[in-house]
Order: sequence, then structure tokens, then C-alpha cells
Amino acid sequence: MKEKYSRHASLWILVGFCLCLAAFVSLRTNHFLSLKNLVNILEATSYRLILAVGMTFIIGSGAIDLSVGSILSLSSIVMAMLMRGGMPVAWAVMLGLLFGAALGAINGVVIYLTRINSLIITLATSFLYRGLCLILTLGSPVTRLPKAFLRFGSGDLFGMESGVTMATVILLVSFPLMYRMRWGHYLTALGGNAEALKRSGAPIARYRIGSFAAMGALAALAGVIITARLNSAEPNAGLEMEMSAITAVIMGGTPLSGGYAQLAGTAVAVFLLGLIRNGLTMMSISSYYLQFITGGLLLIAVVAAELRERRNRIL
Amino acid sequence: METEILLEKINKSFGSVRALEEVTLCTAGGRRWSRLGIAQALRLGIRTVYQDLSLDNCKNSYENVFLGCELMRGCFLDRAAMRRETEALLRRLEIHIPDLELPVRFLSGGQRQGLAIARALRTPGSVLLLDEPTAAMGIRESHQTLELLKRLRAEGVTQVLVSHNIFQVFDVADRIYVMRSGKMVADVMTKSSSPEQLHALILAQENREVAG
Repeated sequence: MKEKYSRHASLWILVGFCLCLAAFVSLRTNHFLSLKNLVNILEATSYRLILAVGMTFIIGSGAIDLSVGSILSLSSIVMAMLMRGGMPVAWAVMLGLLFGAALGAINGVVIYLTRINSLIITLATSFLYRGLCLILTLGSPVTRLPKAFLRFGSGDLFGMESGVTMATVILLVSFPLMYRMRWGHYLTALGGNAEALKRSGAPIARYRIGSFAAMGALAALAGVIITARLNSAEPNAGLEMEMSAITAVIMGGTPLSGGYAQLAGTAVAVFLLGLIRNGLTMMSISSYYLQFITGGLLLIAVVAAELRERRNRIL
Repeated sequence: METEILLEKINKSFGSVRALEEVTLCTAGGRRWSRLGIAQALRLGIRTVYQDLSLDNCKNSYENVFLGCELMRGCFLDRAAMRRETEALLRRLEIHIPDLELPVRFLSGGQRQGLAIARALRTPGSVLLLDEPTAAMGIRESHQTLELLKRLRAEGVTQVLVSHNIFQVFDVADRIYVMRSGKMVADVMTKSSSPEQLHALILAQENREVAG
């Protein structure tokens, strides 16, 4: 019974797929495996990794958050407006992160109190928040941000954008948080059997609302990186980014029903998607193929996971 | 026997279904509470084995036994200690689970039931509430569970067992309350009654309802 049961199978398949893809693209092109290109891939995936890590906690807890892209955009716009209004950069960034956390907490509170499916609630708030972006900016981006902020977003620790450092730190911190500490243990218990956790006397409101607040703060942080890269806070920023985060989480082996979370799988899947995006460019293949390939991979991943799960279900 | 229970005129509805209507129940002695929350009840030493077992199927045996009251080492989960204590607990209760690391969805109905009972008995107390504890079990497993309940009774654990199997009830209980449509219709001591007598009592009640 035990030999059949493994939570890491999909992880190794993903890693293998990454290596095959890397080998394939590097045979067809010259600079794919150069350090500069790898840095490129890391920089282009940093904020996606931050979103996907947060989404792993959310999906592990049996919920989903479709408002991530809207929170990203709205908190960026608020941050940019504060800076344009003369607020010191550090203060504006702090307030922006708190604002993102507050937007996430609103999701969490409504979901906890009404016990309505998080898919519906966050679908509604995603329109609400995106609508606020457009209302606040009248549809045009907030630009000409202070120099100090641009350095904050694209400074160069180890010669890389600081987004890479932030994403790495967040990924490394999330591992003990998920697997060794009460936070991750209770969040996955919420996904596994929320009623059982509640009957055990655990304060489930704190964990449900806290996870959405954390997701909001991470979305705002991704917003900082994107805004600093573009030197502009766009009302359309982060559009459909929640979908790519969900894709990476599911592809990485976390079940959509929650109960268990596969953080390493999420990280590898984000990297794999970045690799594909970059590889297509390197081989001068139209980016139109990106969605097609991503869709195919996701389909294969979920079908494979489901088949494996059915075989395991001995009961 | 230190523990005792008294319920007095309890009403409970689920939507439009009246599950309990003015029910009064007690074991020897009695202590009064009003509006008991989950955390409060746990602190008083009341443990519940739910009909659905209340297990997280994705977590393993010892994680389930300690769900909600994990052993910690600083801010980290102390899985080794939880495993150790669960092993000792299961040995004491003579519940056999071969692999404690396996998510509990891979365990048999009886093993899962045993785990749910073991969790309720992990900390001393107490009053044990059991809602249809053998509902999902085969004959052999039910028998083992009932034997476990009898051993616990010998140790002095007060138990409230909800069951629709009248012979099972006679096998393990000291006192029997019969509920019907949310109302208490009979209250007998096991010693001074028999399954046949109780059957007759229930049938009489049914006839009265039909007639009324």
C-alpha cells in the first residue's frame, strides 16, 4: 500500500520535463543556457512565483482567490498615487502592502462569515477591485514615479533585479511555514476537513482570513515589482495573472480540493512556464503558441494526477 | 466515578427539523451549564466521537490524533513526540494501526473509528459522547469497538452512546433513554429491563401516535 503512495511523483515528472525542455531549446539555439538568459528567466518569473506561493497556501486550504490580479493592480495604483502625492517611497510601499492585505482580508472575512464558495466571492471582488482601478485612474496609468522607487524595484543584488531576491526569500520562508509550523498545518486541515478542525477548538477564522490577507499582501508585493519595472502603475496590470498562478499550483501537484500542498511543485511549475515562455522567444516562435502549450500541459497534469489518485483510492 | 452529566430541557433544531424537544437527561449526580461552546466543553473534559469521525483524510494518524492541540517545539510542530505519544495511546487502547505515517484515507473503517475514539481519550477526563460509533463498521470491527467501550467503562469513563441498535445498547449501557421525533419517550435502567420490553415500549408509543 505504501509503495504505491507517493506525493512526489508529479514533482519529479515536472523536473524531468524542465530538463528535457531546457536540453531541447539549448540544442536549437545558442544563448539559452547562458547565465544572462537564466537571469532573464528568473527576473521574468519572480513576481509570478510570489503570486503562486501565496496561491499554494490558498488552494491548500481548499479555497481559491480570483481577485489576485485586481488586488495587484489596485494596490499598485494606490501606492503610485501616494508617491505622486509626495509621500516618502518606503512609507508608500508599506501602506501599499497593508492595503493589499486589507483587500485580501475583505475576501477572507466575507468568505468566513457567509461560508459562500470562495470562487464566487473572489470573482465578485475581482470585478470590484478592478473597477476601482479604472474609476481611480480614469483608465490611464499612473506614471513618472520617484527615482528612489524605481531603484527599489529594479535594484541589483547579485546583479539581478531585487524581485528575484524577494521571491527567493518568500519561497524559502514558506517551506517551514507550510510543513513545519502550525500555520500551514491548519491551512491544509481547513482544506482536508474544516469542520473537524473547528470541532477541535482551533480558531479557524484567524487562519481563513489570515491566508487571504497574506495572499493580498503578496499580490501587492508583486505589484511593487511590476510597477517599478514598468515605471508605471497600470489599471490593467496583473490581468489574468491569478490564472497563471492557479495553473502553476495545480500543475505542481496541489489538489484543487486542498488538504495538501506541494510548494516545491509550484516553484518548479512556475519555472517551467517561464522556461517555455523564454524558449519560445529564443526559438523565435510566436507567443501565440504559449497559451496553447500551457493549456495542453495543464490538461495533462490534472488528468495524470486524477488517474494516480483513483488508483490510490483503495477504500 | 468523578464525572457526571445533566441535561435539562434542551431544545435543538436543524432548520425546520426539531432534533431535540425539552429533553432532560442525567447520569449520577449533576452539574449545571448553560450554553456550552466547543472550547469550553473541551476544557471541561467532554470529548466527542462524531458520527462522521471528524478526521482529516489527508493527514496521517498522529496528526489527526493531535489535530487542534499539536505538540510544539518552539514554533515548530513536534511530529516525533506526537508519533511517540500516539503509539503509546494506541497500544494502551489495543487499537492496531500498522502505519502511522499513512494519510488516514488509506485506513479501514475500523481503524479510522479506533483513531477517532483514541483521539477523544488522549487526555484524561472525562465524559465521552459517541454518535453511532459502529455505523460504518463490519461485525468484527463493531465487536472490537464495543469491547473497547466496555474496557473504558471499567476504567470509569462516563459515556453517552447514541445508537439505533438496541442489542448493542443493552450490551454496553447502564441506563437507556429512548428518543423519538426529538422527544424522550422512555428512561430505563438496563438491569431492570430487556430488549423485548423496550421493543414493546417503543411499539406502544408508535401505536399511540398512529391512533392520535
